[in-house]
Amino acid sequence: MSPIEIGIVSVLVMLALIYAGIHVPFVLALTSFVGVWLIKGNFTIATLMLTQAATQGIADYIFGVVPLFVLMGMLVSAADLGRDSYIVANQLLRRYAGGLGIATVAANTVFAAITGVTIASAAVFSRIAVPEMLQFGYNKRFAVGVVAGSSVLGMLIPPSVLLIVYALIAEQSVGAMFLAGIGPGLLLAFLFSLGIFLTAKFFPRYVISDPQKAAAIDTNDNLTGLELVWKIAPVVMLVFAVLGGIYGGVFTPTEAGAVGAALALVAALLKRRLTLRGFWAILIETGYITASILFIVISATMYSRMLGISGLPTQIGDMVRDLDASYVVILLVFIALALILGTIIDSVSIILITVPLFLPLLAPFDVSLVWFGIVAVLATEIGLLTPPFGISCFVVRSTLSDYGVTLGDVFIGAFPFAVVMLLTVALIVMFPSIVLFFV
Amino acid sequence: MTTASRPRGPVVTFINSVSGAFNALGSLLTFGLMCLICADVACRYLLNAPIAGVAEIVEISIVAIVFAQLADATANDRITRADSVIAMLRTRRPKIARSIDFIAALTGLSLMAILAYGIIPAIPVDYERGYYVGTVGLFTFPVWPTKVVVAIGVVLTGIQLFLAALRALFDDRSSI
Amino acid sequence: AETINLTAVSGYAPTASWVKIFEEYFIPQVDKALAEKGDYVINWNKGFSGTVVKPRGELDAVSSGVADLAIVVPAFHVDKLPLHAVSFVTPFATGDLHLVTRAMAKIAEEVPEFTQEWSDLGVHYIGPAGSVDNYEAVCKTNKPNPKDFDGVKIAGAGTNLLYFKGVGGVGVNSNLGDFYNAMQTGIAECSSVWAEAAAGFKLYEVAPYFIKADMGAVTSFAIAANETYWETLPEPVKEAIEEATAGYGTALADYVVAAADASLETYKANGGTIVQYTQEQRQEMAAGMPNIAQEWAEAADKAGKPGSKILTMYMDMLRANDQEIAREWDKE
Ligand code: NA
Ligand code: NA
Repeated sequence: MSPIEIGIVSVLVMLALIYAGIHVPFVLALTSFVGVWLIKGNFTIATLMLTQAATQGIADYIFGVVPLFVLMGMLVSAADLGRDSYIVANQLLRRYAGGLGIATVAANTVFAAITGVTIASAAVFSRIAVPEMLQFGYNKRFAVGVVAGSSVLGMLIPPSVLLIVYALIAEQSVGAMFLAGIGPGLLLAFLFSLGIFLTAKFFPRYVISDPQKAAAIDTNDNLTGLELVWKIAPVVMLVFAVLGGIYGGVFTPTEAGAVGAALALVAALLKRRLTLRGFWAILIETGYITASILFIVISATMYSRMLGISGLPTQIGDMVRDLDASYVVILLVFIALALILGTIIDSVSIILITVPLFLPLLAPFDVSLVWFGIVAVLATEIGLLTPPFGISCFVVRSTLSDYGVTLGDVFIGAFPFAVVMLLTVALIVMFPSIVLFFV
Repeated sequence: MTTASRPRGPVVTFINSVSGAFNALGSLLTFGLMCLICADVACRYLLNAPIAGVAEIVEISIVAIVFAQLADATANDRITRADSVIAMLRTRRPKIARSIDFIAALTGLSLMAILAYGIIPAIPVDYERGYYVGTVGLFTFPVWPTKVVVAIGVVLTGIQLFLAALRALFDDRSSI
Repeated sequence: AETINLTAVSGYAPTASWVKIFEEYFIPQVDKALAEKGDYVINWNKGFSGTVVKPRGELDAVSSGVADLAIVVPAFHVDKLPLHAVSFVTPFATGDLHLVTRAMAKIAEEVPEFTQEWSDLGVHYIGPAGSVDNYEAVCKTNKPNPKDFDGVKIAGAGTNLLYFKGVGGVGVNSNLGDFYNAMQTGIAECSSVWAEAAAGFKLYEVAPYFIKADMGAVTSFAIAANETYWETLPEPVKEAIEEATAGYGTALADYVVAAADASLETYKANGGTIVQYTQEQRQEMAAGMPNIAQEWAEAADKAGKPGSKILTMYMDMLRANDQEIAREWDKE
């Protein structure tokens, strides 16, 4: 077998094993190992590839703050800031169908302004939003789907790790990329909300499975305006402190995880919601979530290295180059490629693999590379929601292991959100001014 | 692998408490990182004196944290898997479900064996040659301690997966 | 013709000059040389853009055999390749990237301990290259005098941070991709960069003052092959790769120097100001620094490596070529 054939076969074997229920990181790591062994014909090289990926794959500041964003989410939840924001969101949005779903999207939009990684959004809102929605009779799949779906806002609305990665390889200004993310981010949040509203109105069963519990929302105690403000104040203060810190030059978006976690800890202590034992439990739970997420990142690193060694990415690039196609075709091929790769590898890898291939292809057409970056990031982020490899869904699943949620539930629930994202990509391609409005 | 039952037995209890303690170490490291980054931010902003080496400490700590917590996460069934098919099989065809659990545990076990085989021999080399991260004159830290944590984590996870394989093989209720 | 599979890696994308020139010069050059003889054809697997390794992972990849050939960044591996750091520990000495690249190639040729460091890792060293024609600073406010850096936060990475120590600059550890944001929000007021990168990342948008203190050129890269793989290569292929490496160092220097001139124009065209430091001002910055060259040489000597010898060789070569040396690092 040629290296390319080994690459293709490994993709098929990986898919089969993941669907059969073998643990995702075990499958990724071991198929990579066997793949490199076959390609290089050398056991030692395959072992060293695995070892290097394990010790270096996540040795990066950006991954280092992942547990801190997770911890922040846990503490925000422990301080009952999540419940409080839902009481407020409920009161403000309950007259709309699917109100708590829309509230999740709204809260995610705000939170996206303080986090740069989607997995943080997914971890935080799995803890905050899902229990609330379940309590009020929302459909389980819808509840987990809306959290996974709206988590993608975390890397579209600035700050965003993915936009930084794109800016880095496309040599675009990070500032311009950040500004460009705002319009599409808000548009996507609006379309998510509209979708939820329309579904809840016309196909209520997909949103709410227990109408009686849902009805209980309306009979809950009514808060006065002042009480509402008091309830939401800590959340707003946290967001403002973090945003102010980032844009005021006190700390970087990656450092925001540590500062945010510390502030959330203070909030929880001030509200007297946290015991030492409770804090310890949170630290341990943070450990499980971190290990589960970053172990996948490590194995995904092994996997994309094996593909790289097989030469499959180079081959795909040459194929696209040989197409000698028109602008629209190139763009469609790019989006299709991002979607296909999105089913099997992580978004940072997709940007790193595809963007350098397409930049020279797009050069003759004089397109805005800022605009293309947003198209690329959004198309890539759809992969966060698609099986079998969808990091956002993995995070929701691993954060909620005590709620009887299966990975299948999350993927099914998130699917409509992936469709809305694809629709948004189409809108951005047709109306580039959505992106360039703020730039 | 299954959450249905957890074998007791003194050996298993011991392994589990070691995994738990290692997880706690990772959790303390996470908390330490939070404090360190906040201190760096404060020193840089207020005193104009950033703490040297924070980036390097974060980079090496995160690797140690993940592998310190991997065994306990494995024991608590927190490694991600596509579990819809297996959940259905567990009630309808428990034997098939257990075979999948067995294969899964063996897959993980062989992965840990390869990693241990690759990492452990590198530790004395890193130590003797004095490999480090960071910049001379600013901050340096040796490479080997992180690799020791990774190696222990890998071995512990391997033992947990071995136990999981035994459980899948000899039915959930067995104990050792 | 016999086909040879070759996986060449860099963690960086072809948008980075050193990968771009590798793809546009090195590969075609090797192909051309082999085509002339007609016995061998290389089937290139371009493992760039982090597909096989991330930045910093190139050395391990080529050492383990995961990669056959790599553009290694020795500055990331001072613990493994200490002798390679000579151009980094001798700032304010030359802005001639061609000369620095030649000097490094000469050291590699004449000092066996230099290539031995690579062999110890199972790597065959082929030759040097550099993408930094001159480290400079870009700032949000003007710094007409070196003293103006006192207490100012400067984003940079690794050894560069030490260059500002003499005038009281505060080093903030960051990376190229984050400089824009760090300066825009105020985390740092300046960044330590070279001209091509400053314009490439549009830093003029946030830091319009380009302080040309000419802190020096460095050989950031080395072309290296896995030793076992190298030994299996037929002689003509080895020769083609060695020749292309020598040409690559020159081609990259040509490109970077031309890009630097263009970048300064871009800076000006976008409202930026170029502030050229005088030789006296450069001397002032260099004089205040600890003698990191001596410290480096002594540490190497102590480890039984010819640190002092290489330092003197390197400085002698700069002196022989009449460089504006702001500090005689080896003569203190
Ligand atoms: Na964000
Ligand atoms: Na996916």
